[in-house]
Amino acid sequence: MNLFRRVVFYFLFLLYLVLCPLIIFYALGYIFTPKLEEGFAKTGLIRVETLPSGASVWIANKRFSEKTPATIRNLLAGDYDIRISLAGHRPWIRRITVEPGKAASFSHVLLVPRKLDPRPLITGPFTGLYPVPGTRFLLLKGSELAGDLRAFDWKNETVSWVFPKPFPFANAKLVRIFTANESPFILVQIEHAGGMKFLGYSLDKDKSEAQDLSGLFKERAPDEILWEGAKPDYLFVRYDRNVSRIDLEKMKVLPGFFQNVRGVGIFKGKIYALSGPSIVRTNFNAKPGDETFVESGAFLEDLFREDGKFKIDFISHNTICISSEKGEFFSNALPYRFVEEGVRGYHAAPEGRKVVLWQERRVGILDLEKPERKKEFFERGPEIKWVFDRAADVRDAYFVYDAAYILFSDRGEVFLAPVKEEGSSAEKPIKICEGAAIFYSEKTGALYYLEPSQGHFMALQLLPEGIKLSRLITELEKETQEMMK
Amino acid sequence: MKFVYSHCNLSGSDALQQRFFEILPGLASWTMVLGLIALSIWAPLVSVILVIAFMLAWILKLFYLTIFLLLSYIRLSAEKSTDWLARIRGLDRFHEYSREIEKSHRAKGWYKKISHWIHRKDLETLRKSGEVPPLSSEIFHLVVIPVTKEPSSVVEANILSIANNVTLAKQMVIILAIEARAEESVKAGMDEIVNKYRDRFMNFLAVEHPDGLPGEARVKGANTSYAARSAAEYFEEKRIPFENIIVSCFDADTVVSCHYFPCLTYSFMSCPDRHRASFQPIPVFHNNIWEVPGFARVIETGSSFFQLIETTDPEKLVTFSSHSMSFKALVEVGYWPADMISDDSGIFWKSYLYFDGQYQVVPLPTTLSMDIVDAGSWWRTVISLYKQKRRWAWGVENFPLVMRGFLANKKISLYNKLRHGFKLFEGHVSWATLPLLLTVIGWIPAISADKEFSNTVLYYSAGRFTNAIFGLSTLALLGTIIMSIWLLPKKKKRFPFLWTIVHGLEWFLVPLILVFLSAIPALDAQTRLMLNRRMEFWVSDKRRK
Repeated sequence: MNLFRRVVFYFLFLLYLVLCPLIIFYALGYIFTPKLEEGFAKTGLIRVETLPSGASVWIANKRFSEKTPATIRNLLAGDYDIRISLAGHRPWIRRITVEPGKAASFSHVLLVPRKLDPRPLITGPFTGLYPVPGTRFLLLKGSELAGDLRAFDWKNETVSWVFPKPFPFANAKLVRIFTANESPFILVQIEHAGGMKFLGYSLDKDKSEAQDLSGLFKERAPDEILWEGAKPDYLFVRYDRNVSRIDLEKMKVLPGFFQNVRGVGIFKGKIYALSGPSIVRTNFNAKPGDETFVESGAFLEDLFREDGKFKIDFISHNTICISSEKGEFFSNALPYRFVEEGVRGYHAAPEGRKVVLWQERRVGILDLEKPERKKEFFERGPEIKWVFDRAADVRDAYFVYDAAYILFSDRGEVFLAPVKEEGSSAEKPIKICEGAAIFYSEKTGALYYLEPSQGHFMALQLLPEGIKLSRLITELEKETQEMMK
Repeated sequence: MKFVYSHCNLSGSDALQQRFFEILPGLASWTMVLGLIALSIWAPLVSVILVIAFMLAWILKLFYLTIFLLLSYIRLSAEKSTDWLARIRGLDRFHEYSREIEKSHRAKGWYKKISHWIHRKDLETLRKSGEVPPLSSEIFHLVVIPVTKEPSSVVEANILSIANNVTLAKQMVIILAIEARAEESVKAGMDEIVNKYRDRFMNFLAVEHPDGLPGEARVKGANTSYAARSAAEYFEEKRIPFENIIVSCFDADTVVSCHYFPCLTYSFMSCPDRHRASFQPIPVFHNNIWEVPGFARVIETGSSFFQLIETTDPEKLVTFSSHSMSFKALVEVGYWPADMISDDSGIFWKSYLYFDGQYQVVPLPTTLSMDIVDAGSWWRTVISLYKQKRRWAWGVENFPLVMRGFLANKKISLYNKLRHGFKLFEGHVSWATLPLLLTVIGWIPAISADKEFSNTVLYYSAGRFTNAIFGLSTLALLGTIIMSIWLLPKKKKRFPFLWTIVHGLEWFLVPLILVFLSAIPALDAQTRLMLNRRMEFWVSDKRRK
């Protein structure tokens, strides 16, 4: 037995001595190849995950047996033409550089169907589409009249009139719709009998009546109205540089809640203002003058040197985006100022550390995740990556498929461009009503838009239906995390 | 070599050496665990390479162990129907008998052929040594059973199983070694047992061990040694030479089969260096195996398997739990260590050092069964098992003593010192670290991978390799499950089909058990030793339904 034990032990020990370095070298990418003079080469790999999965992988005109998600290993360093194809879908073709020991990973390849099949949701005509951010509602404007405003619930695919009939101001002119992030409460400004009226309405209640709040507003239209929650207690109304507070319970107005401020924003029961070179904060129910300093200093003075108005937007608990009237774009992450001018709008990814923003001719993304420290002469913070710069008149943009793609509208067309590849070509899935907004929901994987000929309200499925479940789980996880916080 | 096998009353370089070797295993384990976690975060590439190297070593070790587990199982099965008494009688007329065996080649069936072949080898070894075995009628057994808080039902089952070795019972002296601090009800219960079974043995005594004798700690070894000394006086009185006595130290919950003592007597007689040897049966934990929670069943089956594997390597085998040895040797080395918790392995090392390396453990191809910890409720059983495993892992207290002994002893060869020292050290460090490495730390690089690392070939290869290792491990695990089904006793009650499936699936608790009831208790024990926070003997909770 002892002899046998020794034989087995030494055999396995020798096997280990041989296998261990071989496996480690193989794991690092080394292979033996008779093609090369030296025999051994350090290879790289390509990893591709597609939606839908099960697509064929072609590299340098050679078809691989693996279907996506696929890891193609042992590729010698160099450029490869890769083609991912799936029946009924547009092929994904790229030229990829493989580096020794490195993995070229494409974890979010979206295969767009060849034949797009838009689904009519509501027969038009509609002239405008207004998403209520962070909620399940979209507002559809049928005409210039307030009575023609409809609310579409994209989660349940139901539609209703915003102001249930009979509605005394049905023929009044719709002037402006105010919305707040994650609030189904909306404020509609209408023109009636030569005067302005402000109507508050909760979209998430079946039989809610419009609340006439006109008496709480000044004669002139506000520049901005802010509130928080589904049933707000307070509205904060900015008229130029002054902010009034409206107490909706007591129906009282407190003028001069903030005075001489250049911008306001609210987050979790607190209102923030850019006051001179400082950022101040106070509670919703505080008295004027009770504000505390959040941040001040010479750097803020330099940052907000322009004498314009700013919009302060909390896109997550630790990320703030600030934009100015002339299109400057800032964040609270270094280097703070990202764009000098011309930003028309932006949307944040659900997790709140990525922003897609657009100017007239280009669309870019800003990833505020902690940047990797590279050995560079100057330390670099995050920078905007302009993904598409050949547009003419970008009006709207959204992240698609876990921020792997961006979807944007440009002169009556919608484009879908991958985020990873700078300056790449974009797919053109559909034509839309020029000038009208679009809306994309990651939860349903659908694009909502007004079609150009008749103004019908349509939906175009971009992500396969099957992905909804995983989105639901992600959503539940997020909600749980929020609750934990 | 005279070596005081104790950590107490040391001074000068001895004390320094003792502390150094006490610190070493814990330090090595913590360095491995924390070092690999740190590497996983800050240098994932290095960490993954190390993890691959460890995992490969582990999978090869697993196959190695599985091979020997199978061989050990075959040996055990081969000896199941052996007539040990006939062999003993044969050894009584050794020369004639060995010629008879030499000539007889025909045994029917594979198991019998194997058993016969091993028997022939034993006789050949004995013949070559020139030793003549003592007559079986002159061999006496001393069985010492320590009792602290064990219920009578547990001890009585033990006594009854010994009494079932009817042929040899009248050559046995049984001593119940009762702690003076034991409750009166326990003492009364033991007295009752003594009175009930006294007639079945040559003698049956209850010896009360006083508390707080000088040089003793509150450990099992102090109690058994005190009882063994009393027995020595008894045997001297009866003029029975110590060289004819085999002493067995059984845990209170031990249940032996009717083959145990015949097998032990045979092994003692056929061993040329019988006074330089301990005899180690395979401890299995079957007494209450179908009455305890699944995780307890899995961990103790694992412990049985480990012992089964160990018996295939007598060169490195160390006594564990219930064991037997020559009484002469026990008296010569000064009895079991009286200030150590792990007196079972301690007695081997003490003897090994005392006899300058000329001491071995002879594996017995028979099992003895003990209880699995059962504290009543699920959670209390977890805690009780944890404490038991920590006590076992406290066997690391032998390491500093053995190393000091090796440094002092000039007669033991360097090869043997290195071999034993390395096994002892590596065994304890692996015990504390390997499960953590395989189940937790190995995954950290994949979880905490930054963008740079996640874009390397190694990142993708590591996952593939880990999957392959787990696949192979599952294969080995399946083999273990099959073997456990063969080895486990028949269920006393019929379980529904669903429960049978659940019993099989219990084995997939192995990763959790390995971490929480193996690695962490071991790390706990090593840390205590490292920080010089010594443990007290703690009697595991055991009960009979």
